[in-house]
Amino acid sequence: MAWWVIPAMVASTAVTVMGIQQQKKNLRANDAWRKYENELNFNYEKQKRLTEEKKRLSLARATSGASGAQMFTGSSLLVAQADIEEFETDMWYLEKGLWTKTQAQDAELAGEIANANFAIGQSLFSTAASVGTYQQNQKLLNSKGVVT
Amino acid sequence: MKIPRYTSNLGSAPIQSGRSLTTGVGSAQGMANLGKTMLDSITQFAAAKQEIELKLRDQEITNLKTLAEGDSLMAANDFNFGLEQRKDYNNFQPDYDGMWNKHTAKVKKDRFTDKKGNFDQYAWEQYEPFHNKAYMQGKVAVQGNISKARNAQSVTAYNTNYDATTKSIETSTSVAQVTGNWQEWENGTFAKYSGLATFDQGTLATGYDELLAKSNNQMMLLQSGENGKTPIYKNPQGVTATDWSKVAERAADPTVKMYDVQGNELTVDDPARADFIKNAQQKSAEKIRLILTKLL
Repeated sequence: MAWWVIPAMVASTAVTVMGIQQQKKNLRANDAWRKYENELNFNYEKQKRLTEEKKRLSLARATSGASGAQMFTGSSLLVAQADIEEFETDMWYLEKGLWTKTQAQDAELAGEIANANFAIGQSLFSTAASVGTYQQNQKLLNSKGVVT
Repeated sequence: MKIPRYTSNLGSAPIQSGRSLTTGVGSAQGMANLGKTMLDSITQFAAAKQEIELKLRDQEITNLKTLAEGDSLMAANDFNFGLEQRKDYNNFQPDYDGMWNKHTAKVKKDRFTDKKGNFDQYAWEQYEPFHNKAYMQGKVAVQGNISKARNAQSVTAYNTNYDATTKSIETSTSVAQVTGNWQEWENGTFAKYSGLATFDQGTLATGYDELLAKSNNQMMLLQSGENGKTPIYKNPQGVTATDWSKVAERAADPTVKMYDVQGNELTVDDPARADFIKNAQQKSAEKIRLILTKLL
């Protein structure tokens, strides 16, 4: 038996496994970056809308003041309340959008990680089969008196 | 007066890294593929190496078998060739077994043991049936040589006995002597060799017929005279000789009773007696011709 064959098979499998592990690291890193990106976008969108709403409220107050009407009483209060509710609804959806996107990405990552794990299992099984076949053939050779 | 205000123009989701979940995975996939290629190559190499080793081993065993078989066939043949000049056939088989044991040890050492003294058990087991076959072939040949040597001695003994009996019968001077000699041969020598697989039964049957004929001739010659004596006369030189004319005359006389060596009566027309008469007449005529030749 060539002594180095089985160690070489194991070493080659180690290379494969290391490659797949690196793939898993990349996947996790990508996932983290995408989540970070989503959160930044969410916060940006949130701040932008808050700023716009703040401007809108400021404008509404100024417009109301200039008209001489009393602000946020009577019908103006109802209008303001409806606007605020709609704004809050948008913010709620915005937040839920972030959550949904995160969940979808988690599922996608889990699928890719599982795929990588299957690839590792496949590689280990393939190596075990190769080593087993080699050892069995070697046993046959040894039984026929081949000394290597 | 309207104071100009800053307005963002990034639009929605301004942060776009362009990174997908599998970005950069390709490089690691290359590493994984490298490992897989390495494994495939090593597996193929190992399989090819083992296949070649197997073929080489099979060829080596075939060579060893062929060489050893040649050695064994030649050893058996040489032994049998050496037996042709030997007569001690009782020693053939033990000598063959002894030779074969030595030959087996030599083949094992010369053909199936390497320089370090390692015995190739597997190759020997592959060859062993041929070795045993060569032994059996040699043994069959040895047994054939044993039969030949034993037969040669039997034939010599038989021929010696046959010649002595023939002489005894031809020189017998009485019916009782002829009968005694014949019965001794028939009950002794003939019975001993009869049915013996190692002795040629054709030779034995021919010898029986010839000796019986000679015995009966001698019986008829002795019975052709009066009082059981062969008719004789003295020739002009004073030598006593058989009187064949008298013999022929009496043998042809139906009133003269004759019996063969087995006690059966031989009538005048019996083929054996008829031949005897004819033979006696020829000898008588020959004698007369000789006498006339001398006289004239």
